Amino acid sequence: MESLIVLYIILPLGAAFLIPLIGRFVRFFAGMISALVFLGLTALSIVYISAYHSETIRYAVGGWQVTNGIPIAIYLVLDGFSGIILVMINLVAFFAVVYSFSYLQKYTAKNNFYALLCLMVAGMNGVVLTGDLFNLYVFMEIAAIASYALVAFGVEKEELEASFKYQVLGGMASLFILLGIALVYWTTSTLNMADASRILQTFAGYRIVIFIQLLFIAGFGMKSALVPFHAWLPDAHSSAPSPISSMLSGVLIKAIGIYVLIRLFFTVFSITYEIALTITVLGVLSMLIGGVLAIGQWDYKRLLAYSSISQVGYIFIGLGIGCW
Amino acid sequence: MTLYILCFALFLTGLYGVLTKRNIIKIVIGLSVMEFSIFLFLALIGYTNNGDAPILVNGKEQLLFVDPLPQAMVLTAIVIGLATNAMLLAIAIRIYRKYGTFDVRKINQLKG
Repeated sequence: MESLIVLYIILPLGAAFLIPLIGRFVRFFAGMISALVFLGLTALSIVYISAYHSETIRYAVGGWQVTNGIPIAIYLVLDGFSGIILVMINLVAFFAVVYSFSYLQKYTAKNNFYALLCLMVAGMNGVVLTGDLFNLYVFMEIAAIASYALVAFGVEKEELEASFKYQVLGGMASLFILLGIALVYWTTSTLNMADASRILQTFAGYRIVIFIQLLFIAGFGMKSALVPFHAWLPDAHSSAPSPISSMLSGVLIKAIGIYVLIRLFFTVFSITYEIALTITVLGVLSMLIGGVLAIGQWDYKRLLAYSSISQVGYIFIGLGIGCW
Repeated sequence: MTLYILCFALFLTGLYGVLTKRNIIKIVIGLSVMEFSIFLFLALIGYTNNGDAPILVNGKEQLLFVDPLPQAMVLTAIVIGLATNAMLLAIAIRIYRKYGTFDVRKINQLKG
């Protein structure tokens, strides 16, 4: 049962590989297989959180064991929190696929849509499950690049402009995160999250740790559309096809933005008062500005996008208060 | 230490380019400069003075190795960076076909 965790990554990746191959010969193959995959993964996550809710499941990819006290393998870790996020991701993806059957009538290249959606879900499942910092970066980029392509799916003027804006901001965010990961490796000589948190205990209050935390707040704040970095979300949200809008503001900003910040700040870093204050202030700003800007919108999708910026603010306030 | 500071200066140069340039292609170039400064930084982290290539050879005693893990990370990150750049340039070409310009001030259908 433990080794079934890899299915969260293998099944969507395999579906994304098979859809362009088989989908052009078999009608309805793309939609059917992606709906089946997401439904199966939802059922699997529900089984995990109901049967294993109190324990943490670890799976070492490749079966590499710990040698000399150093974890060599890349670990996939599933606990109660990531179980809930997994249910959310796969359930929303399933409904996005079901409702996209009729929505996609006006588009060509339906197979590419489903293949990219499967890639995005594979990336998000990987981000949620991984216990390794660099692996987190790789999965985050898989999800992000698939979502850039999906935002531009209509290839009209607005879609292209929104996608370019999203790509520039998202690319900068990824680079901040990569710089942060490089600095973590420089400080601790490990990429495993549990190991890094054990070593970072001895570095509490050092300036480099504070710099790393600020880099992560900037990077993941941009990914989760926190207020000073929120400019891409309303454009991307309103230009993307509607199933992708639901994935973007429903799941993507939570899975690759907020979830990772919570995971890093609660398990890896020991947080200081100033950092908690920064997070809380950004959250309050996000809540207020998102709500105020939403008043002036006449497009439903833009309105919902500003509403999700405001909701992200609420989540960040909770994170900031809980850290301290 | 100078090397690390120069590396960070390169990162800031790329950031300046992304933030101030008006031409889409120059923005993409700025992003690439930022990317490569981080690759350089990763390669510098793994470097040890007088270190040897991390290969064990029979009969040769060498205890000081260069750290191979950041090099593997740089290789992965280069591949990801290639994907990002290809995607950005593809979108830039499509934008040029639709708008007839590379100037970001003239590409303003959306309000942000």
